[in-house]
Amino acid sequence: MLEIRHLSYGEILREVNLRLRKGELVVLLGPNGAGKTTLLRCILGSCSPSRGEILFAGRPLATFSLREKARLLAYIPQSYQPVFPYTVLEFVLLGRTPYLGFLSSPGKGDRIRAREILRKLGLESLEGRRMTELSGGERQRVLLARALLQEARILLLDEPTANLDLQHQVKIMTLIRQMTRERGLTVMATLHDPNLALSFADRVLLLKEGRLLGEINPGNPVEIRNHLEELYQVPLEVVSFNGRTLVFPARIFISEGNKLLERGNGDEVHKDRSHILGQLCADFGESRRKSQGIWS
Amino acid sequence: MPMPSKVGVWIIVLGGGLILYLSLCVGPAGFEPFLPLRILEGRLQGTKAGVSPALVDIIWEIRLPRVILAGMVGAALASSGAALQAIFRNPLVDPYLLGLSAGGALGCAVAVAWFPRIPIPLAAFLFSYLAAVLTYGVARLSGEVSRLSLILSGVIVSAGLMALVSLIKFLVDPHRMAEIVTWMMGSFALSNWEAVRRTLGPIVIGLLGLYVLRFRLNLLSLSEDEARSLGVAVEEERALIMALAALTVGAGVAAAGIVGWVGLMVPHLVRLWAGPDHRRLIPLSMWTGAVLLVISDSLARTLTSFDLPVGIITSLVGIPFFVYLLHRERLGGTGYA
Repeated sequence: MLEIRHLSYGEILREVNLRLRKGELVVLLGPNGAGKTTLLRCILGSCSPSRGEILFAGRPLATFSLREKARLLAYIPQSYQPVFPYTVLEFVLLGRTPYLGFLSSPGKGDRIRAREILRKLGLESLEGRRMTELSGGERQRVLLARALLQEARILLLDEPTANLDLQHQVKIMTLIRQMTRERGLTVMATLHDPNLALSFADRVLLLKEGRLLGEINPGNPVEIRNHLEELYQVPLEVVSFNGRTLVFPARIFISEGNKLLERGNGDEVHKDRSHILGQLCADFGESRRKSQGIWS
Repeated sequence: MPMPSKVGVWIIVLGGGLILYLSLCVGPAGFEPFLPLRILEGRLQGTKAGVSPALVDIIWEIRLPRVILAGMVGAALASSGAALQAIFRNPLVDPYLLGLSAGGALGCAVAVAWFPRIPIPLAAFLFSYLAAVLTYGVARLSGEVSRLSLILSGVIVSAGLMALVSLIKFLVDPHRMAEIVTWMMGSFALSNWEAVRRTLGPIVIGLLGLYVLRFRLNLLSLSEDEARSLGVAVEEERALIMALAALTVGAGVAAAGIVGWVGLMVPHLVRLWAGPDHRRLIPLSMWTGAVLLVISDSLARTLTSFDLPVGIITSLVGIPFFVYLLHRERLGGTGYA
């Protein structure tokens, strides 16, 4: 459906190739500064790639008018801070813009559609509330409502779970996954939490220093660990639980008095704190052997 | 926050209308609440209705054009202020702080000094627009345009433009200089029907433009990426809004000089009772701005035995208001409630 070919943007993105299929939820993982947001912005057309192209159904996205593109792609920015205290309904109605003339405002029909979507997302009671008064989770759902009102085929989300508590992280991801299944919406989201990614995504893509390292298959714990360790440069443990795959840092060091101990086995580590990271990397191989001993 | 009821809107419209009418009744000649009606009656019947010709002249030739002009300029400043706050995503700016007023003043001065054939509102519009572009450009020099950098940049650009106006005052002959000085005062003392005629066209075009584009202002107040993802041509539409604001502000400066702070205060007052949706904010700001500037001008001409420049009144109210906003918003933050 959406195809990205040899996309480069300065030093930030290099030779990115990927394909989104209809109705799938693709999650992009990568450390800070890997180019995740830039990739989304390039798809949106907010930055023009120095090389490569993005195609929708074989047609270059660059040839779409802004309005055509807005009917195709919806975007939810990261950690939203509204400048003006619009009400939820006023804000959600902005999603109708690609269907309105330059001089017109949303009408009665648009309000009916907006209320219907708010009801589906369980937001009808918030209709008259100010955007500035909402909690992070509510705001994220309102943004989702606006994107749904936009009736786009593809939804791009930049860290939809940032600043949300655990309950709302799970809620919003459940909702997003539901939209892909109910409406055939294609979603590409960036995330920081590999566990959320592995739990909800159809595919997980790894982006590092502007390059796609590949994708991971939730069924293969060893491969997942190898890939994610390379992505984040930290020793990891991968466990299977109820048919799911969970990832967490393999070694945690805590200070007790003036000693530095490894949590769990109580091994003492060199007192000088600046050695923690060096120690981690030196022990990288060992940690790998250990974890295999325990888990496989 | 209260939503404006139909009744509330009617109270504002009718109350404002009453104020506009009463402002015709006050002046150094005293307060006569029925005089304008009697004159109107006389006009319609083609008689004098027992009013002395001198009084008719005071109401018809002096106060009426003055009230109309002050109303138009108030509407222009307030709605431009609301529009600029939206497109710059900054509730602390207005045409005065962003240098549009100073640009308009320079345009007037240049036209009066060297290009008498160029209509003054046109020159004011061009320079006012350039001032807005310049302010935005200077703010961008420091990278991300923050609230503070935009205001700072507006102050710098205003100062520079006003220095140029002063320079022109020195360069031109004294007769023309006097003309320029009257523009800088911010006063409706010289209003007449001729000034109304000159100002009407550009202000009406600008106000109509802002009115029909008021839903776009909701969109432009989002982040650029977001607005673009909704199909908004952000740069072009922002430039269009800036041009409309410059058109109305320039015409206002050409008519009455620099009147500050109205464009900052009015949108805030309107948001308090009608919310931030520009579909309501723009028309209500126009009306409230008109009424408030007419009140200020009425005070300016009746408070003392002098005809004070109205800019003094608006500044005396506006500056404490700005300080209050600064205190409430804490410039560094991005939140706004």
